This record gives sequence, structure tokens and C-alpha cells, in this order.
Amino acid sequence: MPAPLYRHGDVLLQAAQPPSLPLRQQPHLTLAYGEVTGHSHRIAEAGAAQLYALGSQRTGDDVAGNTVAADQYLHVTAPHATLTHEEHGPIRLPTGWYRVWQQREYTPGSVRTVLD
Amino acid sequence: MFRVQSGGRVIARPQKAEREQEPQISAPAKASAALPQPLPVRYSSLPPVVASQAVLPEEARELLRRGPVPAALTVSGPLNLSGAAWLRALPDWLRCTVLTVDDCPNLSALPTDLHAERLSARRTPALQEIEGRLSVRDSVNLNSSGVRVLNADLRATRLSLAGCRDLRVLGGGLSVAHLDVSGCAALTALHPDSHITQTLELAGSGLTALPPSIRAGLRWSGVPVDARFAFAPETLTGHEVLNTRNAQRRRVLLDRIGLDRFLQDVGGLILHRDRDAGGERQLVQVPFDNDEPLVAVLVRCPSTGGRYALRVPPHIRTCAAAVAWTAGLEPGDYQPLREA
Repeated sequence: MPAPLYRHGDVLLQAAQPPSLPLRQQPHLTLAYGEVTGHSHRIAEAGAAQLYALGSQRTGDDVAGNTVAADQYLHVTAPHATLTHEEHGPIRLPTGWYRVWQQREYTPGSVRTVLD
Repeated sequence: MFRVQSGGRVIARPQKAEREQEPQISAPAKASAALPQPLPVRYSSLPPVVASQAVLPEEARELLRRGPVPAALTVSGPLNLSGAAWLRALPDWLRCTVLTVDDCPNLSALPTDLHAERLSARRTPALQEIEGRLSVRDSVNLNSSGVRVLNADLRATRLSLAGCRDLRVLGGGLSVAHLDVSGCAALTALHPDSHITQTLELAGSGLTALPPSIRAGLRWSGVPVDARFAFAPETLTGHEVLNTRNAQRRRVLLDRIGLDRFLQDVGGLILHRDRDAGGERQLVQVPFDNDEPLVAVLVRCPSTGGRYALRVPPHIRTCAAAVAWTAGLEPGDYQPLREA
């Protein structure tokens, strides 16, 4: 049974074990930011969670050998945290760690991350 | 003392007599005294710093590392300072063959009078304003730098500003054969006095028109395009994509039109359909001559009801596999608990 998975627009979150990789805590709770619209996927309650980036500029390779963006991790420390966005309905996330990444799309010769 | 185009600053070339009396530290310190600078020291192992007498690249590097930064410096070869977190300033007057300052996080200014064969200052977030006189024989590469205003008398064969998302002003003192402003989304206009004699790469820039005086050949991701493609994409049609025989040109045309409008125009062969939280979804295919077919999954957002299309690899045959691929998961692992 896969770990609980959430899709919020083009952002995906999946419950995960506390990561053993070195992490850098972010000074904000914005998981993804749309450069064109200015809209963002973010945690509504300050203090309910902490957002982390991997400690180094790590990137990975997908099955096609393309470089994909590094992940983030979200740690919900309150009983619940609410993931919000200007256009998408809210999602309540229970306490725990989550891996956060973004949807991708295919272009011949490369794969690019979607930013709405 | 002589005056050059240095943003109003006067640059003093060290006088020979003074140099003989006070060797290394006689080079005047740069005006940006507010920045933390090491204390002046005498460099017994280094030659005097003079503009007319060249120092070796490794000597120049050590001189800049230990500070204070001289106002003028001639280097006898390539000066590579890539990745130097200690580098905050460069001499105002600099001569070298190649200046490379890629990935220098604290560098906030380039020389206001530079002669070199090549200049590379990629990924320099603190470099926000560039002014003065930059005379570079080959290329100036400022890709993904923090530059917001480039208002310099800049002459080079090639100027690349790709990915400079904060660039807003590109002044009129520009004279280059090739200019790349791809990804400069905040740049909405070029100065009419700019000289761009051969090509202008503008994919993803904020340019919506060009001054009539600029007649450079337009490029989009390296592909020659016309003004309609660049500045009136709403007039392009999906059928133009289908009728374009050159695969590379067809790809940029598709990119310019956008997948959603392309599929609205031309339809496509439905390979598979099913339902998810947003309603019906479809996997469609559009074959191309001389290229792999386009396969895309059309889904509806459960929150907004809006339909959107995502291109997936051409071997995919079901909607579930396509959506799982967009999440980077295997179909069996893609079972979202909540979608919004």
C-alpha cells in the first residue's frame, strides 16, 4: 500500500519517513510559486509546519535520464496544517513528514517542471 | 589622472613615481569602502601593482583576495575567480585576456572600464547594476545573474543575458552582433539606440515589439522566426504546426502556441479515456511527419473545473499511466488520497 499521496494542482505531497539527508530549513511555508500568476501553494497557518530544502543542490535523474528539480520536505508539527492556493481548494494535512515535488511534462529531448 | 566613462567616478591610474616610493599598497583602494576589506598589507612576494605593468593571473588573484582592491590592474592572461565567495569588488580599470567570475555570490560590480577578449559572470546574484565601458572582443556571458539594469557602453560580438529574470533596463550603449535575452521576462523593451547587427534570441522574454531601428534576425530557442511568431502568437494556428515540415521549427511553433490551443485547433486521435476526481480525462495523439507523435493527457482540475493538457512520452497508452508519469510515479503507486 503506497504512502498517502496528495495532489494540489501541480504540486504533489506524499507522507514520508523523516529524511536522513541534510536539510536546510526555509524561512517561509511556500511550497511552490507561480511566477506568471503570482499565486502560490502554501501552508496557511504560521507555526503549524516547517519547510525544508535538501541541504545541497541535489538533483536527480528520472527514468529518461533527464535532470529533475530537487525535492523539498514539509514537516507538519501541529495536529493539522492547511495547504492553500488562490485557485485550488484547501487540503488538510495531518502531523508528519511529507516529500514535496512538482508535476512534470514531456518535451522531446527533455522533461520540464510545470509551474502554474 | 584621466576620466573615463565610469558612472561619474574618476579613476586614478597610479603614478610611477608614487609607485616607486610605495610599492604595492600605493594602488588606490576602491571607493566602496563600506564593504569589509582586509587591512592593507605589504606583499613582499608580489610585484608592484601598476596598470601599465602586467601581473600574472595567479598574482592578480592573490592580490584581490588579500585586498585592498586596486583601482587599476593589468593581468597578463586569463583571470579566473569563479566561485570566490570572498570577491566583492574588482578594479575599476581592468585589462586581461579573459575575466571569469561565475558563481561569485558577493560580487556586486564589474569594472567600469574593462578590456578583455571574454567576460563570464554567470550566476552572480549580487551583480544588479552594470555601468561604464566594457569592450570585449568575443563574448559577454551574464546568464542567470542578478542584473537588473545594464546601462553600459558595451561592445562585444555576443552578449548573453539568458535567464536574467530581474533585468528591466537594457540601455542604448549596446553594440553587439548577437544578443540573447531568452527568459528575461521582466524586459519589455529594447532601447532604440541599441546596435544588434545579426541575431536576437528572445524565447521567453518580455519583449512585445522591437524599435524599427533594430533589424536583427529573430531567434526562438535557436530557431529563426518572424515577428508574427515572436510578437503576435495569438494569430498562429494549430494547423500551421501540422503544416510545418521542419521538426525543430514545428517544436518551437507548438511551444509558442501552447498545447491547449493546439489541441483545440486540431483535435487528435483519442487513445484512451476514463474518469478521475475532476471528471472525464482523455489521452490523445497527434502524429507528425519526421518526428515522434505528440501524446497528451487532458484532465480537468477538480477545484477550478478548468481543462488542461500535459504532454507525456509517446509510448504511454492509458490516462492512468500518463497522469502517474506526470507525478514521476508508476501507475500502481499513483493513488492520491486527496486532489484539489
